Amino acid sequence: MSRSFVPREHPAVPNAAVSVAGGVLFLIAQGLLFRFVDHLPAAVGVVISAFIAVTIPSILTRRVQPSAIGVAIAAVILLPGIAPSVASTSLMATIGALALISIGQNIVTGYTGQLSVGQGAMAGIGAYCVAILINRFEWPWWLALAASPFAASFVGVIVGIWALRLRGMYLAMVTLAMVVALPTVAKVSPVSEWTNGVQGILLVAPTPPEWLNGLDTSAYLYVLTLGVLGAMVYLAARLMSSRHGLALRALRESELAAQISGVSLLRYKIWAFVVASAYAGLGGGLLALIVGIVTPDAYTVMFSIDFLVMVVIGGLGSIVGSIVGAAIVWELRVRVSTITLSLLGIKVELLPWTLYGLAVIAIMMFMPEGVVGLVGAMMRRVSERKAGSFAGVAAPAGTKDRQT
Amino acid sequence: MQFDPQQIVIGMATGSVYAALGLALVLIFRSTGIVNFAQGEMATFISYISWTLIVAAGIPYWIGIGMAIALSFILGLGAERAIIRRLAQHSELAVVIGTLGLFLFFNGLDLSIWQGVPKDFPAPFGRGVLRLGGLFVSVQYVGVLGVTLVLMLIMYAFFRFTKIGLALEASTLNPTAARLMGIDVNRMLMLGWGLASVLGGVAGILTADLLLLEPNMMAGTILFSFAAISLGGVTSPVGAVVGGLIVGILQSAVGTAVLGGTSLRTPLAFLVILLVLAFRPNGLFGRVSVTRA
Repeated sequence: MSRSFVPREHPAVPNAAVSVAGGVLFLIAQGLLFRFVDHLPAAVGVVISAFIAVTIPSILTRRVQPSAIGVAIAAVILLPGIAPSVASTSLMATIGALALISIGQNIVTGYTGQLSVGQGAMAGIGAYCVAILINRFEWPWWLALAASPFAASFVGVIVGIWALRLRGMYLAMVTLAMVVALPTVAKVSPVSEWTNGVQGILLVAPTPPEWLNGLDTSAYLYVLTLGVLGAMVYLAARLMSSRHGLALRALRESELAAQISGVSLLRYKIWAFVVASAYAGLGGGLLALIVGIVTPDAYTVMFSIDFLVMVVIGGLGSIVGSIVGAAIVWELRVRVSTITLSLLGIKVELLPWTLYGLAVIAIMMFMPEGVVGLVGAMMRRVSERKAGSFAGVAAPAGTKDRQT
Repeated sequence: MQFDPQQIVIGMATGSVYAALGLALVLIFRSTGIVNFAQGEMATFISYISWTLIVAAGIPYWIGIGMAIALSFILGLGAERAIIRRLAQHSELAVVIGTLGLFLFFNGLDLSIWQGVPKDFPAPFGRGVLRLGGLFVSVQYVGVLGVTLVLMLIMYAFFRFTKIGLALEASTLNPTAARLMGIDVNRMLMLGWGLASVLGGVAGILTADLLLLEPNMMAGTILFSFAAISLGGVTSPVGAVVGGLIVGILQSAVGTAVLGGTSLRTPLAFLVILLVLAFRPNGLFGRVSVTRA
């Protein structure tokens, strides 16, 4: 009896643990390197730590991917420490808050297939909630932040119950109207008594507590954002893999089939919309703390449409995609003001959103799974090829068995 | 609270613009089953092209308009063939997201090429003013309303009395049955987009005449057109016009009657949409559609 050589994995150690181990090793390696070696260029330090952190768990468990993923995540989190000029803590914190709103967008559009362009308005509601609670009612900032998702979901329930009864496009129309109306409503009295009209509300950033001394405000907000994002990503992952998430995806594929299977159409649509609003409200509240001011004119239609662009680019139906999309779109928005094309000798300066529009169209046409889908497909091809090479020849599974 | 009948005249003029764009939206919905978020932006693009042809290149007025309209037809055909058809294979959501992408693209393109400074669009109807029983009605208003009504009648007749109109509707309602009857569904969808684009182009030129030609000209209008077709019924050309006029008049009335009313125009549109959806989900003239599984 011969045995085909297949690498033995250690099924007892779950992939997630390996990822965490990889990430922690990376952190430790970075810390030790920069402590004991003087004048170490940042890039070199990162590469060495990454190498150590990926190879050790991989050799032990014969899997490369989990530790690579863990190190990658750790590297991204540490980015403000590694390359502060490229990725400051406030930029990363902003991306983190936007990612929250983007996750909400993915829940309602990516998972449930409903077109909502209202995430920006919901974020605005969360932001104003935080601002008003802190400034006018003197709530502690963390309590105000905790209240922001509820404020937004309250509005979400009202709007959802109205607009979701009918054809899908009505939700898009209503949320569009909401987004256009928000800046106007915030500037008009009697609402402006609360929102301080066009000047907006200034917020004082929360001060880091005693036991975290040495951390400046910006870094503190970054750590806070990471914590909130981490918790909400975990929550979203649990929700979407639960019975509820399955129902949502069933809705997206075929409303009729879902209904026959016992999924209450209206209730789940509203539920998805409300959850999305809650995420947006929380993200908006966090943004208010990070940016330090809440003004009505910041919540433009483009701001709301940005989140749709984020989830399309990142990947519809993928939580990681929401984060990736948020990072890509925001980085571009911050760094690129115009893009110059030279066509047939004529120079045209294009505004970024011209290309966003093209990107959205192109992605929906050719890779509807977004960046995450693309990376996933590439990784799958790599692992398929590996499995084939280990088994000798890329022969179909059946023949291999018969040879023994 | 003042009530000025002159406001009704102005309201009808802006309402005609909402109605004209609304007609394009109704056409595309009735012939393809989706709402095209980019309709307004494509219309603005065509208006800019007309402006470039007439003002910058000096081409005679009506020839320039004709060329622009022809271009809008080709634009609509092209958009359907190249983009929408591919997206429709995925899902309806993909198509609508695609139209949002088109919205971003055209909006950015207009701003990039022609800059944000508003341009004066040469008047097709002249700038005279009529006096009708104490009210001042500019010839522009009459022209815009007149063209919109003519378009509405054409559309109504098209869907009611022509074979092509029937074929267009059939292609959306039941593509399989339509194919079995010998209708080239793909070509019908392309035609639907082309025609809607033409309607949109006309709406854009009318708007540019009435207001100033600037990149966000239609971005605001489309919301009120949505309100208009929700009010009137998304499948009804008559509904689009009636709805548009009502929205326009309501806006003018609110603008003058209520203190600070002009800034409330948008929330008002929001409210109108919500109320209509609550009580008459299919609008005043809309068809109640029942889908067989």
